[in-house]
Amino acid sequence: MLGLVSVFLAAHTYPVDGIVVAVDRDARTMLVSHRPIGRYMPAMMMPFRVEQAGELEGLYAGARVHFELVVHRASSVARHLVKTADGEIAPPKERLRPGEAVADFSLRDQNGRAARLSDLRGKVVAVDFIYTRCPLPDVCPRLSANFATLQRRFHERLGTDLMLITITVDPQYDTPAVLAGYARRWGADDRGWLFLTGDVAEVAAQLGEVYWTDEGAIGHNSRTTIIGRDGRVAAMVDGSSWRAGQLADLVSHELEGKQ
Amino acid sequence: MTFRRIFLVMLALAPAMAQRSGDACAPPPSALAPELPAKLLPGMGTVHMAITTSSPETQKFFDQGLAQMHSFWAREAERSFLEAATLDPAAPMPEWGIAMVAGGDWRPRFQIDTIARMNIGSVPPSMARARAAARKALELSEVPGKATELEKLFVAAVAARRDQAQKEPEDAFVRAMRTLLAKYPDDVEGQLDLSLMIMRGFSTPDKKPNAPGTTEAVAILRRLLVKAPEHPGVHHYVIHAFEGSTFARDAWPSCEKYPLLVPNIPHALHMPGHIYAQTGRWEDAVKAFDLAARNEREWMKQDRFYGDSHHGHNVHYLAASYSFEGRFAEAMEAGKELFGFRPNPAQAVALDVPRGAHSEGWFAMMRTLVQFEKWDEILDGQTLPAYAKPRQDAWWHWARGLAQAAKGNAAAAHEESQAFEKSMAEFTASTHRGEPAELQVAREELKGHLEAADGHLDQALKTLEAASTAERKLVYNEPPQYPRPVAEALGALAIRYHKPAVADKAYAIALDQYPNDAHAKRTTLAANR
Repeated sequence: MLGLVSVFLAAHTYPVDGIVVAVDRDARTMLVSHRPIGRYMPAMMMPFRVEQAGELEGLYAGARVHFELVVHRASSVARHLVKTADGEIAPPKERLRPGEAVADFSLRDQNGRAARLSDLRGKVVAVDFIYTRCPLPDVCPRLSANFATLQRRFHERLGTDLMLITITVDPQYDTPAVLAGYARRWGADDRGWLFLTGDVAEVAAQLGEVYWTDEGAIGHNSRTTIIGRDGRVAAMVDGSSWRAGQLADLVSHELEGKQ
Repeated sequence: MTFRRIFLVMLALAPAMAQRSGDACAPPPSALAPELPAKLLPGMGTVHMAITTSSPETQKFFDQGLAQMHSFWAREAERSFLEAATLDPAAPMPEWGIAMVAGGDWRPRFQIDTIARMNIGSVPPSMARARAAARKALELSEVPGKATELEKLFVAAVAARRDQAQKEPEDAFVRAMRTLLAKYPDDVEGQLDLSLMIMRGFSTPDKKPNAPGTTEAVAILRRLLVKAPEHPGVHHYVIHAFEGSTFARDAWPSCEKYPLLVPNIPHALHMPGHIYAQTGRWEDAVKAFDLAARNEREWMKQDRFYGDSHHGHNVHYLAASYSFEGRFAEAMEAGKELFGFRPNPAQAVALDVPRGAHSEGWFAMMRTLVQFEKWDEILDGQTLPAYAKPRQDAWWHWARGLAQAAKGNAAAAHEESQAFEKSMAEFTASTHRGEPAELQVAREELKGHLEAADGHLDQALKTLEAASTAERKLVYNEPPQYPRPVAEALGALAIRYHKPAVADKAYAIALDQYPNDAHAKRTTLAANR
């Protein structure tokens, strides 16, 4: 009894925020790219064992999670896990789930060339949605800054093994010429980072992107999707308030883990 | 939902919500810079202010922007000024125009006061364009030969208002306008701009000026009615300066003139309805709001960015006017039209959506059903569907509580009261805001009806009197924040329990609040019988 009490006293509990990179239900663990955990641990990607197997239900790569990490002397366990998100806007019902194949689409890139998803088969593809006039620094500019970070981090594989695709939700305004200017602003290398416009409604619906116009503004729910080499959804991340490093961990896992 | 999550939701939805805050009496500014080219449009009103420019086209678009500014059409005014600036990039006054309108706060000072209380310091994204334009206007006006002394004074005023270091930017603007008028005392534009920024409105329920500026603005505008009788801004500002006062009917001539001068801007067609409604001319109010709705639907068809908030406000007021006029079917029809608008995805997930066509349509139906005492319809669950937001849920249970009490179902009325309290608690817990004042009045009124249903008549009458007093002290807003005057309900209860003196007094109060209120007039006749 005394021993149990001393173990209990030795345990520390930390709140953790992160993005799920992979789930191993058999091992009852999840690989999470997490933010710094207080003074205990810097931001990194690491596996966490959950207390209850049921807590892994409904988790997928890209899910944003919050949980408590209970650290004992020789072990640790995650508990009270909840999924979190920037917004509560439900993606359309017909959206794809992780593991499902993305239907081909054909749009026009910043150079006016046709761009098809099927042409990218065999590469890992990261897709986000923005519009160039977005006035809010915390939304579209942040998403583009995160892709710029990916471009720098994976520059050796960009265009050959990894493609970044940014699709506008304001295609009437964001013509190829406008997107070319925007691409220059972010220093985009058009061999590996394409900005697409055209009839974007179908691909947006597939990938769960919701957008609308109202009172002189465009609202959208900012989803980022990673498509595997096989053309299937590998991960989906909601919102824009995550860190570039977390997205890079997801991409890296897809590049290395499933090659 | 944790506070952090609420913050994150708000951040993600900010593009759609930032422009939506505040009231919707005037269309909000555009979050995005308006697209060009602008067009010269008919029916905007004729205004001319000669500016320093080498381009006659610039002058035309500037004048159009100025006319649109005086009808509070921030989005189109900015588009016109932007076109003028594009045509003559060296002219400072188009930049002055953008600085004046892009923030969406070229509104009567009393509205700015109210919006500031509601928004607690939040600033729309478009304000960045207003500030940048103010800096640009200042820079251009300093180029020799590019601005007259008068133009420099106008630019200095807007630059003062847009200076982020200013703690009281509106006061800084007013001081600068007084400097301008000290040198150019006859300048009509200067007088108009000053009047708008000093009108502080009138108190409720005694209708006294809230500040000396209120009276000064009225005096300026009475002089301008003689001096510039064809200026649309004069008539528009008269309507705002006189609304809520004891002399609101003095604005009737401007209510007739203004829509004739500006027949193609929804807000210009809408505003006379405010005065007509306050002064008991319900039929004319209905005509004004209906005309505005027809015009606005055309603009909505043409512009995918238009939005529905001003339409929601206008048609809500139309429904309220029908209801006060005694036209049940038309009031419900107007409410249903609005309720048919789909909330956008941000509104659908927001914790509280008091504005917007969909929610205002629901409120319009609720207030109509209560004012006409359609208790069976309120209870059938179909005519007034439940609305899954705490604010509307509280109102839904309030209306059902009134209905059950009126039908003598005391126990069911108490259950609705408990459900009302649950919704109120949910509202404060989820939004982290205090209880809305109008719902606090609703609680008091419901308490009175519960007391009546429980057989405590004297106490019920006292409670309703107190609720009526509180209701009349609610902040001035249009259409009225409260579904219908509590005094109507007090009068009806007094008649039911054979207290004609109490009923007479109650109806007199209701008619004082809303002259020619058909429900008070009708029940006054019943009381006399």
